[in-house]
Amino acid sequence: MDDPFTTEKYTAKSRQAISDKRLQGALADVQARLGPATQTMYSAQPEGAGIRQQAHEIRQRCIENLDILLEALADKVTGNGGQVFFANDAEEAVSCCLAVAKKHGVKTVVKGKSMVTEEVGLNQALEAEGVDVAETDLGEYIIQLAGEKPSHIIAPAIHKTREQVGQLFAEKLGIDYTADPAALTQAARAVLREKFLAADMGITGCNLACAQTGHITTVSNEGNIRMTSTLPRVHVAFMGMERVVATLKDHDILFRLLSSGAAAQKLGGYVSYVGGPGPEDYPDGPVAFHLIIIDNGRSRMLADPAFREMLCCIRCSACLNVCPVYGKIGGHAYGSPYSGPVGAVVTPLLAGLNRAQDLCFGETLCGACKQACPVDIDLPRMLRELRFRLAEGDETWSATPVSKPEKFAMDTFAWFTSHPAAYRAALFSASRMQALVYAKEGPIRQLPGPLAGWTRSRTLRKISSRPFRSQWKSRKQPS
Amino acid sequence: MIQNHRASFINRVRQSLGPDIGPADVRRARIFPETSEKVSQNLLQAVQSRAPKERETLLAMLMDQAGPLHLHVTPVADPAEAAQQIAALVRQKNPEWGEKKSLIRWSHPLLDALDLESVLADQHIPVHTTAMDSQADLQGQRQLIRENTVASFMGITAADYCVADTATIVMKTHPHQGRAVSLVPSVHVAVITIDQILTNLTELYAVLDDEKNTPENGLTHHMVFISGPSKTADIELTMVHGAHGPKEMHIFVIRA
Ligand code: SF4
Repeated sequence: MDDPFTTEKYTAKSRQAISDKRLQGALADVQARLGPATQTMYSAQPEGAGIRQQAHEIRQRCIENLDILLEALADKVTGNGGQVFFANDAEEAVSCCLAVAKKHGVKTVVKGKSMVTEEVGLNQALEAEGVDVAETDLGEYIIQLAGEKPSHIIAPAIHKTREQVGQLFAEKLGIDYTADPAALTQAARAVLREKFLAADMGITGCNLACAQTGHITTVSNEGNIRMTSTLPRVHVAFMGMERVVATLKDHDILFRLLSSGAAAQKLGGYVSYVGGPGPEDYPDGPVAFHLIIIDNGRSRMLADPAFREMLCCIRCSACLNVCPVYGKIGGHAYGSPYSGPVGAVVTPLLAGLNRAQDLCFGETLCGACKQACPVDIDLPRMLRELRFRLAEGDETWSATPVSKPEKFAMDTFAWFTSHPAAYRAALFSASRMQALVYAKEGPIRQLPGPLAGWTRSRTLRKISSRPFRSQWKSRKQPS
Repeated sequence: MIQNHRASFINRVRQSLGPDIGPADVRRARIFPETSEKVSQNLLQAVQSRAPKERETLLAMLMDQAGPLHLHVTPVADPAEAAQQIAALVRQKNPEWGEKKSLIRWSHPLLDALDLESVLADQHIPVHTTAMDSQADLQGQRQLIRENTVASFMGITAADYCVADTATIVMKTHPHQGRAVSLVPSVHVAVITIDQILTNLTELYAVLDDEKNTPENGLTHHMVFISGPSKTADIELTMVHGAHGPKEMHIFVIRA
């Protein structure tokens, strides 16, 4: 199975993104348009500005009863004639989907945008079986044609200019070159319409399920997800196990917030509720419905009180649109279907802490993401927690300390700070020693040996010859 | 068929929640409350006892909200006027795919009352429906309905509700009412009556919540909320209408 993560290339890809002027413009644009607008939308909700905290509580309560909600959802869907499959990991999810495709003799598939199918590497697996897979969200379609990866959760092709799309379409679809977004959209519309009508199976994700009524819900503005879940005979929906709420009332609040957070809308253009296949004597709609509920590492987050909160996430992407780091390095640097602040937390938890360590070290802890999050998730806290686990090592997450020397240095520092006499003595001798090595005025520009990394992109102030403690003592106390 | 791990999966989730979560049935009763809250009862009452003047206010609100979404809302006096308006649209618009003009519509009492078949006869426009005869060959009928839907440049539906605040029409899935009618044709026309308009989503959800357990009027196996024509901003954030679904959407609101 294909590995969906390339987190090792974080630094290299970030550098590349930062030096790409056009990409910088596009990122600034998407953040300027969507970032501030979401805040206004939240406070305009009838519940008032406190709605984010209210939503957080709802999500928390749902996650704390996840076992019950999943059972209720599965019972309802099954009772409605649907099939529900519980997949422990990516491989099981994929092979379940392949088995369904095989059973129905599926040759062609249309897909609605779904991050979780990227996470499990579904497309490659289907293609390996000779199934033709078409992404149908316009942005996803563009990057599929270009052989690239999504760079934003809701605007996957944000890194491409209209000219690039024009050239791509001219080359791959054989149309005359144009850089007009309307004409390009029309060209894709015509090609994809044929695909929708011919497809044997439609695959979608699930934005949020409602346990009580037994429906999964999807949202899109393009209508591609409706096409995908209406026209083919078979509908398969992939759902991360945390994407469920208890009641319609919960659903109402969270869906409004999802629409606001994702696109600064009151409500997404098309919201579909799917509770099962339709009867044969209805004029249309799939006659088979399969719901694949995926764990793939999520129960580990659930079991760790420090990371359980991450399961409240509804993948709206609002945090991407305010993040100063995402705004510079873009989505590809994160090397995961989940980019931005949400990706910096969730990707290490899915791909492995050490492997994706750069992601959580790269964020600034400025707190903008928490403010922007419609469910008020404390991403900065979890980033700090990840850093802590990486510094100390952590058995449950099979994390080894990022740097043994650094851990040793920190442990040593901790010892000195709790032993004042030794600390003073060490400081005194260090300040004398540094005078021998760094005679020049001003800050230290390059540390020796293994410490050089610290000064590669910053300077270090010298240790003062008179420690703060003694300066403080000799200062006159204000009367 | 491959192994389904439901029991062990749920069990792992339960284990991960820790030892202090409490018995499942107690938690179940708490998270799925039996009685609906007083607030929603009040909302339901408000919906049922709405005065004609309030309905007009909601209609005005719907029209306000619809504008920015490129959704055309036109109030009409009666079904006959709705039919005339639709006939005018049919005359104006050209088909996007192919040359011939044809329509597809739901089989629904309100739409039957429009008698579009006669109104459009002088334009020689065929009007297909998505009515099914459960006694006859189902596959064949579905196939024909699919062909007619794909060939039609305009799809005409009714709706269950319409939400003024978000300019949304709500459609459950009932027999004889094709889902693709509001999706595949280039123009979607929905015909509703003024008493179907609700204030906002909270009101809608109170109504849906109230209906969810009634077998004949539950949420059905599929339900869709539509707020305007299909759109995308995936190329340089430039808004384009008509990505995959209808390029144009109209709601005719019958006042009488
Ligand atoms: S962390 Fe919050 S803002 Fe970010 S994607 Fe998840 S729900 Fe949206």
